[in-house]
Amino acid sequence: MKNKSLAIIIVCILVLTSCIPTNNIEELAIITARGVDRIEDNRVETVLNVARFDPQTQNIFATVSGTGNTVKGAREDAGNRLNYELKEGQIDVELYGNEAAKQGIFPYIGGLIRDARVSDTMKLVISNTTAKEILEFELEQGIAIGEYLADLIEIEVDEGALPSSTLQDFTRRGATIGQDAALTLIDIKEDKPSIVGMAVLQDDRYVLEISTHEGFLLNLFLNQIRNTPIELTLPLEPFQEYIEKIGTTERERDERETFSIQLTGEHGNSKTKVKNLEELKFQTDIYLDLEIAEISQPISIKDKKASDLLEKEMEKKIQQQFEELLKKTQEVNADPFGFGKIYRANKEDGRITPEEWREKYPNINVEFNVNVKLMHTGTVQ
Amino acid sequence: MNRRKKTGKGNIFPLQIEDLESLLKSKFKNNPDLSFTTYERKNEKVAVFYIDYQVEADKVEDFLLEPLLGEKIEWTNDSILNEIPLSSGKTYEKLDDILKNLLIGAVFIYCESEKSVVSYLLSKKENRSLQQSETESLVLGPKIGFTESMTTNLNIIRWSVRSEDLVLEKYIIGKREPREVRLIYLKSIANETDINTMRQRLQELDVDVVDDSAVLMQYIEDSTTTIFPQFFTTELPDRFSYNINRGKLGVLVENSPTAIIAPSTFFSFFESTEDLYMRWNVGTFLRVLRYLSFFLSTLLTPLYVAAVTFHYEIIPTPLLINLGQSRAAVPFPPILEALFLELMIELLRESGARLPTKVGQTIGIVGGVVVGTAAVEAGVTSNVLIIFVALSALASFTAPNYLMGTTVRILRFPMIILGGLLGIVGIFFGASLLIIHLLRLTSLGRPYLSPIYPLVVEDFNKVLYRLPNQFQNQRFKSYRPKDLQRYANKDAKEKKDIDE
Amino acid sequence: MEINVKTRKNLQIRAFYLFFIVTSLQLGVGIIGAPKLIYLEALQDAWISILIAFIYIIVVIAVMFIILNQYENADIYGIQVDIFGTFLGKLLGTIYILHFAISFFSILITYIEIIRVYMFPAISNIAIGFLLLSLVVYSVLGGFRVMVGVCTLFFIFSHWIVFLLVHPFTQMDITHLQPMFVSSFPELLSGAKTTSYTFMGFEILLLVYPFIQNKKKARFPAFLAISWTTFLVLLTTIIVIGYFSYQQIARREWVLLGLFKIQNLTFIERFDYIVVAQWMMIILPNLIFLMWGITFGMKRMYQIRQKTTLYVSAVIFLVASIFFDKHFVIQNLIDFSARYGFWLVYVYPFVLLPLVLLKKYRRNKKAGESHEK
Repeated sequence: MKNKSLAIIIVCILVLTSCIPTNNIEELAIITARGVDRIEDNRVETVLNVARFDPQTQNIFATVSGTGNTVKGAREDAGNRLNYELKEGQIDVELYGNEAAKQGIFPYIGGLIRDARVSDTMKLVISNTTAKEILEFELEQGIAIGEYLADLIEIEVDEGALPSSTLQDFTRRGATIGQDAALTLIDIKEDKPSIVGMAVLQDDRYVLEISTHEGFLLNLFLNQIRNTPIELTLPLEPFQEYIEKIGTTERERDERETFSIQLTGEHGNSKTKVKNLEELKFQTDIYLDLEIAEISQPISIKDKKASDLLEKEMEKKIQQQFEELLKKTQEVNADPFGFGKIYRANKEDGRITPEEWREKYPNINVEFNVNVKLMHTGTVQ
Repeated sequence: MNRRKKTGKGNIFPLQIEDLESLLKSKFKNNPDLSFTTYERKNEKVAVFYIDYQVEADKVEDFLLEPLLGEKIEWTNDSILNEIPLSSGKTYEKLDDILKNLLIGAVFIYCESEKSVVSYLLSKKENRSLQQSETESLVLGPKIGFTESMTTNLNIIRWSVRSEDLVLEKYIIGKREPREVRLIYLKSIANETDINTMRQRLQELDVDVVDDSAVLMQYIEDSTTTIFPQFFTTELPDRFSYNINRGKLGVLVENSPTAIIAPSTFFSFFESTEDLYMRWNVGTFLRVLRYLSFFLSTLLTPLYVAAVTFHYEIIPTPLLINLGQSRAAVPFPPILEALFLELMIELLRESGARLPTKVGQTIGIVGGVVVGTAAVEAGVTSNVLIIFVALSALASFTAPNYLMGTTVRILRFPMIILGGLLGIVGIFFGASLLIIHLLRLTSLGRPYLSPIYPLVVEDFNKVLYRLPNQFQNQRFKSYRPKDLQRYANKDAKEKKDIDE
Repeated sequence: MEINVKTRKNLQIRAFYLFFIVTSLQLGVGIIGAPKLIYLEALQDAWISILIAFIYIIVVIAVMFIILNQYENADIYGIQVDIFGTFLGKLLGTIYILHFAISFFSILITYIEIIRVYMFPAISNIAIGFLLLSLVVYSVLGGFRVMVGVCTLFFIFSHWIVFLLVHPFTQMDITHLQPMFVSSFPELLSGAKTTSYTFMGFEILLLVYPFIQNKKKARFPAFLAISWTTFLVLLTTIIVIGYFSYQQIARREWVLLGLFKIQNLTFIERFDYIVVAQWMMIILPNLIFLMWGITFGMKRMYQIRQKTTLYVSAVIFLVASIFFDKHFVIQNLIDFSARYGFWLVYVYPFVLLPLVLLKKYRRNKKAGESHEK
């Protein structure tokens, strides 16, 4: 009796479930990177970097592209050129061409969010050229461009040099009232795709390019950093008395007005508060614990005075950079810092529309207080 | 009188010796081994009969025939019983008893015109000497295993559990071929309900023959349909006495080297006495390893099948590419591939078990290395799967009990099928079904999953992990022993400062 | 009909299992969508709504205990017959059974829908329905103790999911929770009301109470269970609010599952798939106890064998699940179940309490009078 019912159950399961379509990996073309470009006539071209497991070929990666009126349509078009089934579940990098990004990327992302199969940790990247150019770039044999880009970004983000720009980050920052997203910017530099900075978005439109260093500042503002390499360029003038007078002639020294200093940010964080809600005054305190890795000029940090001076100069420099960055973003009216968010959180009713903040943002006033602590000077003074 | 002879129930004596001889010969018609000798002295006649190879011939000569044929003795039952220097003398009247005892090696002396027959048990039994157990092996601890002889086994048990509390109840089971079965427990510890349940099950058992203790176990188990063994079996006296000492019941069957231990839980199949011989932390590690290998063994291959069939998303890209490359050339769907490989491993194991030890090893190497490599090269299977299958097979052998190990290996097959049909949902369905099934099982009426359910946290440290001895002062609470305390709890150590 | 339930000693359970029973029944499909619903009502003050609901539930449970303690060993079916007479009592009992049936069905089809959306869009309702119902039938056949065991073990085996919340917790944006105390009191209350479906399930107390061995110790585990579920709902809601932005929460259907997309280990990522499958172990105790409530009620009031009800209702649910495959139809059913359950679970005990006390007072008086005579 019991065995019979068990047999019936097993047979039923077999019958009922045999109709589930399988996803055997060797029959799939797994998209690891996807690029979207806008081409003439308002059409979309999508470039897909796929991994498919074809025993006949050595290289498991391939790039296919297709065009259509929508991303979906373009994908179908690309799918027609491939004898494997295209699957979105493993996209690591989603790349938007310059044109597409400038017109807004929400139309392309909507489908991703709706699809439960898509990963939230995929990286959204904006290309300074077209997506196609980057995704079809020939790397050394065997390295997939999708994974290459993903690794490239991941290392920077892990180091704390750039804020992360995953789909989740983008949808969260972009959709939070009073904050705009910033995505990693990629270009072909010195014959290789590399990170050139961050793209600041206004809502979903790419409006401003900032450098990698500014990307770092943004990250310092948004997150905590730990063991992050930093490079600063300081004026040489205040350090005259500490310059070691060995090996170089007076004349050589005088020619240079600045020197660059390579540092490691052992620890850094920031705190922002509203000073005056009515007058849109904010105050941001930035704390940085630094370690000197390299100085381009033979400057000797031999005593506390020298160290204090260096700290002060660096503070001044970083503050100035922050102010410049803020000004840039105010010019394009995009708020990657999320001052609007802080404004809203401190407002009594906690309500503000995006439009209201767009009006207010160019007029905000932020006081950046940078506190630098020079922890070590490396093995030499 | 004829009728009585046929039924064999009543007294058949007194009888003429010739009649007795023909009666016995007719019973042993096709059996030439009955030795029936008649001695005459004056007018008296005496018959001595036994089965040749069942008795110790020397003893019959020395202790029986010699005094019997001497001058001093009178040929009456009383004087024989008095004069012959053997202690096991008994008298029988019924034919059934005579036949039964003949078979186990009794020598009968019948003096004509007496009303009964005298018998001495001089049985000879060929025994294997005490050897190391083959199916269960310990690295540490006593090495001997039980043998087929009940007396030897009882002897071993008495030596290892030297307590006057030890009860060895005797039952004769089997209608056609009666066998001795012993129920063994410690009077002052074992739970009364358990004893009664076991007694009842043994007494009410109505079968023709009990082939082995494993067979007896299946007759008296709670559920007959399940795949899980409900009683623990062991060949090791040390494991046996460990369980008896903690209040469980043991059952020994004549002619079987395996003892049954009841009640058992699911977890007791993963316990080894070795855990006790090791230090507690090492013992804990080993035990956790065994539970881990249970999960590994039942879930690893199914998860692989589920992932590559349905859920490529849950594998990170670099790993996915490895898996995909190894799968690329395989023409079968993953479920068939996995079933095929699992089947191959089972074949190897089975043939290895059937073949003589030396050939078995060769087969293992040939099968494992040569066939495995060839299968990958031929593109029949992927090499990643080979690793998984080998790992899960290996893991299944860590169960200290062979019965459980086999069960675990078989559980994999439905799991693979579920994983291949329904992906992770199927696996979780299978796991749920398994848990519910285990919850429904009982062993001697006690819940099979105790101490997890019913939850007895105090027993965790004996079952799931081990703690040092100061925490081990109680017996398993979930078996409700009569006496819970093993020894007094050591007082908490005085708190000392450093350098005191 | 007997007012009191005669329970065999070997069917009884220790009081602390009540913790597992109540927690398992409260946690179900509700919590997956609850953070969103509460947030939409009470915004960042959702946590206050949850605490309000918590306090209210404690009062409800206290009332339930008072009602139950007026009787020797009675369940809700018996009490209603005692208070309202046979006809009305059985009618109310039937309403309870219907409540269980609707809850059962709403849980079943919601979970099926989740599986279809997350994993197998092509699978038919009947296949998953068959799997789940076969598990339900198999465990209910095992009897009360097995069912409690299922609750206990599945509770233990599924709570590792809580650890997955650590990662999203670290990525929270605290400003999403600011400014605090902006929602008006009515908003908070309506937020609290939206939790009713999530927190439902503790009404099983009215049924399992006769099966508890040491009834005096039953309160603590019950309150502990409520606190634990409240803690989990609170935790998930706060993490969801901090982790997602307003639009994300408003747009996503099962917002909780979105939290499990970011964790990754070197050999596995996308835990949302595993969590969806694991959720089977969270809804099964619900289904099992609700099914048991149905069969037990039918037996108590109409003397129908539990096995008969079990098989028949399983087949009915299976067949009915075929017709509920559209998202909005399912949503309507859940809303209906929530509304219906709200009155029965959260309001009705307060109606019952004075009646029970009155009845007891009268009975005592009568007993006292007869004693005097």
